[in-house]
Amino acid sequence: MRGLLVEGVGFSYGDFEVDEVSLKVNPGELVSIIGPNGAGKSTLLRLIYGTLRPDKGRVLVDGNDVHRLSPGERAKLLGFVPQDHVPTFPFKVLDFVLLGATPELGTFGAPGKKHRRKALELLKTFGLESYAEKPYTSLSGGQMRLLLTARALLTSPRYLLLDEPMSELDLKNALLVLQTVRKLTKEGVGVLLVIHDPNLAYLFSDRLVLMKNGRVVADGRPDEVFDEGLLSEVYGIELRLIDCSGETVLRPKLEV
Amino acid sequence: MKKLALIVLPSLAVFLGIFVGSYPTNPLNLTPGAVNIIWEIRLPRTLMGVSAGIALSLGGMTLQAIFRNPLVDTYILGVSSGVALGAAIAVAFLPFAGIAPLALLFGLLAVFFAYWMARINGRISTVSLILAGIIVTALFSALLSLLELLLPSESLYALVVWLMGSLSNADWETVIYSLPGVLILAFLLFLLRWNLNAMSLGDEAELLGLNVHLWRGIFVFISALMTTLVVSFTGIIGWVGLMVPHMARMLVGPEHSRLIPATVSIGITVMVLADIVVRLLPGDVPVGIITTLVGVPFFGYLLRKTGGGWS
Amino acid sequence: MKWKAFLVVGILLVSVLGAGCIESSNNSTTATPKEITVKDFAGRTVTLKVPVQRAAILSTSALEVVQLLNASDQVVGIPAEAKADAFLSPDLKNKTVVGRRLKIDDWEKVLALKPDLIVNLYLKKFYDVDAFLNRSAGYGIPVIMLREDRLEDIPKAVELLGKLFGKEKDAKAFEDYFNEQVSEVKEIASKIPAERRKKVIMIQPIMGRYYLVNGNDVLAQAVRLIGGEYLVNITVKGYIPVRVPMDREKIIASYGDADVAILLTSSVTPYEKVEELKNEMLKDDAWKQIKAVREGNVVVLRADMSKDSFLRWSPRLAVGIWVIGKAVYPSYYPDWEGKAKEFIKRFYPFLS
Repeated sequence: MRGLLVEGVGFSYGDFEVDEVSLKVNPGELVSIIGPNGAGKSTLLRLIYGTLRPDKGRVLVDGNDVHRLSPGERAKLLGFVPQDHVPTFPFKVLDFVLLGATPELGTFGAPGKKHRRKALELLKTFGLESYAEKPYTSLSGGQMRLLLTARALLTSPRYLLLDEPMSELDLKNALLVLQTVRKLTKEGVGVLLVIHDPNLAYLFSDRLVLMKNGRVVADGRPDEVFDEGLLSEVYGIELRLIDCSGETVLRPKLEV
Repeated sequence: MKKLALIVLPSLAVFLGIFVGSYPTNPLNLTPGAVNIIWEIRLPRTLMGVSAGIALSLGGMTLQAIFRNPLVDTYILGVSSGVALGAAIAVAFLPFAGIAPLALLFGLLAVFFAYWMARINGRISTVSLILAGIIVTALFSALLSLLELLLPSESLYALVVWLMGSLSNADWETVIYSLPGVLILAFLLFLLRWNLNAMSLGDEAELLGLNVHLWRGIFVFISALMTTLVVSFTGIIGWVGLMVPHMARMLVGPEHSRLIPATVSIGITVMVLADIVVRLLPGDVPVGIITTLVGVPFFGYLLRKTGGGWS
Repeated sequence: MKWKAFLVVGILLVSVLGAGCIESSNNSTTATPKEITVKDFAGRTVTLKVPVQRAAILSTSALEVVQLLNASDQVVGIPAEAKADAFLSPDLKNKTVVGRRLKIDDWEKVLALKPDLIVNLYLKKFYDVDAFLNRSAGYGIPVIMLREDRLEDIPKAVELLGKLFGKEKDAKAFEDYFNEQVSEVKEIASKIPAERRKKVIMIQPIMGRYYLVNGNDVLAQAVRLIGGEYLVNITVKGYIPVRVPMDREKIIASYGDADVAILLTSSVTPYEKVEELKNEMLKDDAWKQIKAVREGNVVVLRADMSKDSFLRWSPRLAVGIWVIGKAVYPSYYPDWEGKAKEFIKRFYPFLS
């Protein structure tokens, strides 16, 4: 059975709770999780990837239970772009992307020509090829996000989980990431994205999952989820949908 | 250029290691006596230096990578206190057993103990391991002090000197016990170089498909075994494991397929040269004193420059 | 939980009180004391009442002298090292331990014994001698300092302690015996022709390192006494240590012309270990650069605390000089076992 299937995943830690979340990402589909801070979006993503163990429920990737897979098998099926990365050693940019090859290497292996070529291609896609030999610690925050995405893409995972990959990116770079990710879905990769900006999510997603307080409030096509009343309630502020020459834009109602 | 230097320097050091000493040995005109001195004394001593240089440097490098901290070496695991206690037990109770086996046993025991203590719910963090290392060191040092009370003065003095670390007692027997094991572990480490790269990202290595806690254990074990394979024979030679990996990183960067050979090369050079300095001094000065004298200022500089983390 | 804590405190209290009771039940023998003034080995003038009744002694060599003087009853405190010294009777070894490595850890324990004399070694390198002297002066306990530097000090130490412990006769007997041994040895030494004079080095292997006996050590003096030439004379910045650590190569490079190499045991390296080392040495081509090794003149001698060891600064060196003589000149000196038997029978009869 193809698809990334989340079935009744629940997890609690202190006051914080993710309550029996179910959702599905089909191959070639881009699904965005939106919602206010503290809704449990990032936690859900970690539960799905398996770095956090859920108290109940399960996650199936093309029929495999994620939490029964070894980290290596899991990493081949799922790519993950973490929200924060603490730079440590000043690896060269190219080497850093090549670290993404690790799941495909044996215990004693090291990346070969094939991985190098792919890594350079990815660097080119993200406009980082001129940095290939520079220490990655010298990159800007935005470039670092692109690099983390490139690293996750090196092994061509079937599903890609991204935790707010746009958080430090300017508009151009944010679009670059989203367009790249969108391109991947055409090749059959399923993408699950945690994203802050509902408008960007609306533009690029096949489906939106709206979360609040650890629950899924709405799950559907972007135009289904984009409901003034629903969004205003979930975000706790008054929001309006504006029709802007044929495009729907979500705007907060401002009192000046 | 760098590559050439990394081959030439250790070769030069080993050459000097073979031809420098108090007995006259002219490489152009070797007397039979000189050949004997070289074969029986200088060569094993130099090879032990090679073994120590490789093991201590790679041990430090590995732990610095997996704990992502430049100011860490194998001794934080409590190895030195374990080795010291083992040596003291050997001297106090088992004079016929020899020092090395007990030192080896207790050195590893200390590491396992620290590792066991630091492992909480299957996870192991840098801070918990450093604290566990301190606890184990404190415990083993207390036991050592207790034992020292039982030792006659001359044993105590000898123990203190032994612990300072020296290559002067190296012979073929100790080399045979130490060097092959160290080389095998160094080779193993080189084979695992890519995993070590991934592990140097910390917990993020899990996203690269590694069982982080398992690999942390494996790398801790490799570096501990390597270190004890040397210090059980030589005594505690300090600071090499802190200094050398850092120098190597400045030269070739943090990627381990380049860093491991560079660390080995500089480790051999530093260790053998330090021993040559000692040979030229009168008496039998422990080489550990020289490495400490050089290492401490270097460490201070490192601490001030990095603030204890990576810049 | 609380009652457990009280229980522990209670047990501690009872044991402390109990210990106090035992301590205070000691009685000293009465004798008519007289005050004398002597010069100790540090050149200090010491006035004290003799015979000494309650001495605290911190060096094992001084204890061996006291043992020989049959004055064990006049000792109340011993050093921890005494337990390992075979030349001390169980009677002496069971006295209260008051010190370790020439130091007193707990002065209260010493004061509780009410000593009328403390004997220690004048070794400024090992402990703070002046502080030690000030402290004991503060408590009004006289201190006699001995030195283990010279061979001829051995009978002198016996004479001094004999006087202090009121055992002049026993002391005289040993002095005569010792001087007799020395003159016998000198007699033999004088017969050795100059061209047969042997060059000697002594090495004490400890924990994989080699400690050379330096020329100022009492054992080197013994080598010169028996007619040998002692090769090692090292001064480190104006200071002459009694042992010099040296690596193999330096030993070989510096003392290649030694005719006899003596390997010494120690409390760390037992006889069998040193014997093993000797056999390795004899097979080792590097060690063979030393004449003594090449020609097989490597001898293992005991310098530990056992009863077969005679190479320490103490009365036992009366036999020790014979041991060294035999080791260096086997054809000139007789077997020393007879000498040892006689010595033990006369001065340490509890050992035979």
